[in-house]
Parts: sequence; C-alpha cells; structure tokens
Amino acid sequence: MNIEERLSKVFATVFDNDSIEITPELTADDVDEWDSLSHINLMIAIELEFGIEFDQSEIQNFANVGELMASIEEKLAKKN
Amino acid sequence: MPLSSLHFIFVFLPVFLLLYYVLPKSGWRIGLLAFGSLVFFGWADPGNLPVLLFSLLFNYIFGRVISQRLEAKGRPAARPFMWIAVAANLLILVFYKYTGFLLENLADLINQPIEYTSKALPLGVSFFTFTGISYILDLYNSAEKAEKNLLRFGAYFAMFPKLLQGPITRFGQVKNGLINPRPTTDEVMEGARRFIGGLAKKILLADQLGLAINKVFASNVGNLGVGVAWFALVGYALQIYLDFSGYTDMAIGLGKMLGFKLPENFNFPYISRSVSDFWRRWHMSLTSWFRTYLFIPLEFARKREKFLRQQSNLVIVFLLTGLWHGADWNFIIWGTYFGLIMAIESGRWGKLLKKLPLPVQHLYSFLLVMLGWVFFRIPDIELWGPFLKSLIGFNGWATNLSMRQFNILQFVPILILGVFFSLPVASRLEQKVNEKGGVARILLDIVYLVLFVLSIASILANGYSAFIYAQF
Repeated sequence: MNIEERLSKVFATVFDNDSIEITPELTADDVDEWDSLSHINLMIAIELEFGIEFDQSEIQNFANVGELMASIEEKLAKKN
Repeated sequence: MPLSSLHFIFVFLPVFLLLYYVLPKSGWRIGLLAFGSLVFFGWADPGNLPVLLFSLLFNYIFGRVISQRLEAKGRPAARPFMWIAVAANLLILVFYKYTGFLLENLADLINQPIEYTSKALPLGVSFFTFTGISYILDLYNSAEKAEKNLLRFGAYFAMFPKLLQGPITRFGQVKNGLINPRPTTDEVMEGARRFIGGLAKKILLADQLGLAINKVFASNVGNLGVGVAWFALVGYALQIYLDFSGYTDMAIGLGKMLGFKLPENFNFPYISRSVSDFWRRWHMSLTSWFRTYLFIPLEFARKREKFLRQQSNLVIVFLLTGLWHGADWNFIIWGTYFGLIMAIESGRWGKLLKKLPLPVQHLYSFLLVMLGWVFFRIPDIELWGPFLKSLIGFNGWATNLSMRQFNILQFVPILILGVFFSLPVASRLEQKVNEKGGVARILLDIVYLVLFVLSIASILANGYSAFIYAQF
C-alpha cells in the first residue's frame, strides 16, 4: 500500500466515512466531520499508522492534505 | 487601577498617551510602555509590584536561556529550564490563589483546623502567569525566538491594557508591533471608539444589570417566582458577558491606540449552537491557551490509549479551566460540567445535534449555558437546588418576592439593550457605517461622545465597581 492509500484508510476510520477522496487540495473545510477535535484524532492516527511524530507547531499548520503528505514522506525518508 | 476608573481615564491615560505620541523614537515609546505599565500596576497594587517584577525578569531570563540552549544543543538541553520556568509561574499562581483553598480542604480531610491568613491576590496574577507560561512554551516549541531587549519584553509582558484581565496574548501576536509601534490616526480613532463602546457596555449596561440581579441573588433564592428567577439568571448571563467583553473592548481599543493588535476574546457566545460552539466563542484567549498548552499535549501524550482518551482529556482540561476562575468547588463543578457535556458532544450526539433544526440547537445551547451560570453565580452549592426549583416553577409564577419588590420593570429596557449588544447586529451596523463614511460616521461618533459622557456621569454618581473577571 502506498502512502496515499494508507492515508485514505486513516481518514475513513477517523471520520467514519469511506467516501472521502484524498487529494492534495483537500482541506478541513471540505469535510463536514473535520473539526478541531477530530483533527487531533487524525494527527494521532497518522502518527500511529506511520510510526512518525509531528512537532507541536506542525499540527495546526498544515494548509491542506498535500502539505500533510509531503511532511509524512519527509519524516518517513528521515526514519529510513 | 481598573480601566473604568476616573484616575485611569482622566489622569493616567491622557498623560501616558501624550508622552507616547510625542516621543519620536520607537525605543523610547517601548520603554515608556514598559515603565508606564509598571506604574499602572504599582498605582493599584503597590504591595505586589515585586511579584510582577520577579515574574517579568524570571520569564525574560529563562526565555533567553531556553532559546540559547535550543539553538546550541537541542530540545533535551532546554527541557529542564522549560520545566523550571513553567513550574515557577504555576507556583506563583498556586501560592497566591489556591493555598487557602487547599489548606481548607486539607483541614476538613484531617479534621483539624489549620491556621492560615490568606494573602492578597496580586492583580492579574491569573493572567500574567499564563502569559509567562505561553511565552516559555512558545520558545520551547520553537514557535518563537526569545526577546533579547528587556524593555521590549517588559512592554509585552506587562502591557497595561491587557495586564489585569487579558486577553491572554501570545508573544507572536504582538512582536511585530513591538519593533516600531506607530498607530495611524485611523487606528487611534478606531481604538478610542472601541474603548468608549466597552466602557459604556460595562458602566451603562453591566453595572446597571448588576444592581438589579444582585438583590435577587441576595434574597431567598428558593422562594422566587419563575419570572424573577429567569430575569435574574438571564440578567446575570448578560451582565457577565457585557462586563468582560466590555473590558476586552477597552483593552483591545487601548492596544489599537498604542499600535498593537491584541487578540479577540469573544465572538457573540450567546448565538452558539452547542456547548462546544459556546466555548469557541467565550473567553477565546483562555480556551486557546488551554487547547494549545494543555489539551493537545495531553492528547498526544496519551495517544496509545483508546478508551475515552479524548473525552477524559476534555473533562480534565475543563475542570482546570473552571479551577482557573477561582479556588472554589463551584468553579470546579462548573468547569467539569462543561467538560462532560463537551465529551458527550464529541461523539454521536454532536453529529446528531448538527442535524436538528437551528432553533433547537440554540435552545439546547442556551439552556445548558444558563444552567452553567447558576453554578458560577451561586458559590453556596446548597442553594443550587432551591434556585433551580424556582426556575422551573415550583413556586409558581410569582411569590411575595415579586417583580415589584426588586423594581424589575425599571431594568427591562437595560435587559433588552443588553440582549441587543450581545448579538452581532450592533457591530454589523458599525461596519456598515464605516463603509459608508461621511455623515453616518460623524453621527455615530456623536453617539460615542454621548455614551462617554453618560458613562462618566454614571461613574461620578455611583462610583465605579470592579470588573467581575478582575477577581479571577
């Protein structure tokens, strides 16, 4: 499974919604269930899924899913 | 010195502003702001000036050490200093605010009296210690770099508009202004209007409502008719909003007049559609503080726990939010009550709630927030039951403690005005006037002048009364 597919699974679990399509342009405004609390759940689920850790300052600063994916890729690359 | 006192409005502020606008160099203005803020504090609470000074210097020095260590050796080297600084801020707060409460409960527990004379709470201690913690943690999280210039740091930390009652301001929110604070004429005008609007909200509405409802709450609250009980509760909800948001308007207005953009603290809390929504709109700088420095770190620290992790964190954080308001059980219960509701709203109920008709959502939120104010307003827990019985009509519509006895009809116009200024209508009107300019603007400015004169007349007639949040 590539990063996008794994991320897609995380989104489906956190938001309890299989129909969310992951695109780089997707933002919290596009997903009804994506509020400040579920955002934290999302970040935690991503940390656990990929075995990475976000900085405090990063958590609230991703502009869209594209930036989030770039950060995940970068952290995975550093790990290996 | 409260912002609504005559000393502040007619002595401190004019002298300060005159000097501030005359000084040509930004460094001098910053120095004046730092020094003037200490004078402001010392004027009102000279005995505790050393506490503020210690706090200021301590956070300045530890901030610099943390930043240096972070740069040179990384986070682990900075960590002990971060903990010491956070603990020191908390210790000041706990020592002055909670020692009496802790000892009192300890005495109950061990069934032996403990001698303790409570210390005078330094003005604004809950606010400036939280400012210190936010500064330290923002440095530690690399969100900001430590301020090297002590005067600039002092101007940020002790800035008099926000020193006593917030908004709790993060360093990043004003650091650009600290480099060269130079307000434009328009900003000074806007700031002055906001200041006067806040003053009028406090003096002409909140204090007047207070006169009416304090009498009701001082009476036998278990023997009120439905009308009087609800008048008192809604009156209190309006009073505390107008009082605190009035203060905030004055603080933000003053900030603007000095060239700073302080964060907003309220976004019309009484139009909220859920309790979570209410807390996104009420005392926003405090909820944002708790979210950033406590809730999110707690969530990540417990990330491997699956069972009710988020729910329990909400309860913990709101329990502490309640406790921040005062060392008393009623505040702890008030906070925990909201934490529990928000924990429930974070699940299916929250989703369902959003699908209900709008009036139902508003009513739901209104009733739960009002119930919260019962816990907040009445410190004696044994009186909650009797007052709630009055609210739901156990004593019928009227008792011998009648509307007439409390002169309630006289206060109904103020209640209506209070409702009007708690809704977004008034500020939308002001926006429209700003867009139009011209005669409309001049007319509205005349209204502001009249409000100012009326407020001053009222202070002269009644004396000023303290802001509710000044005691927290």
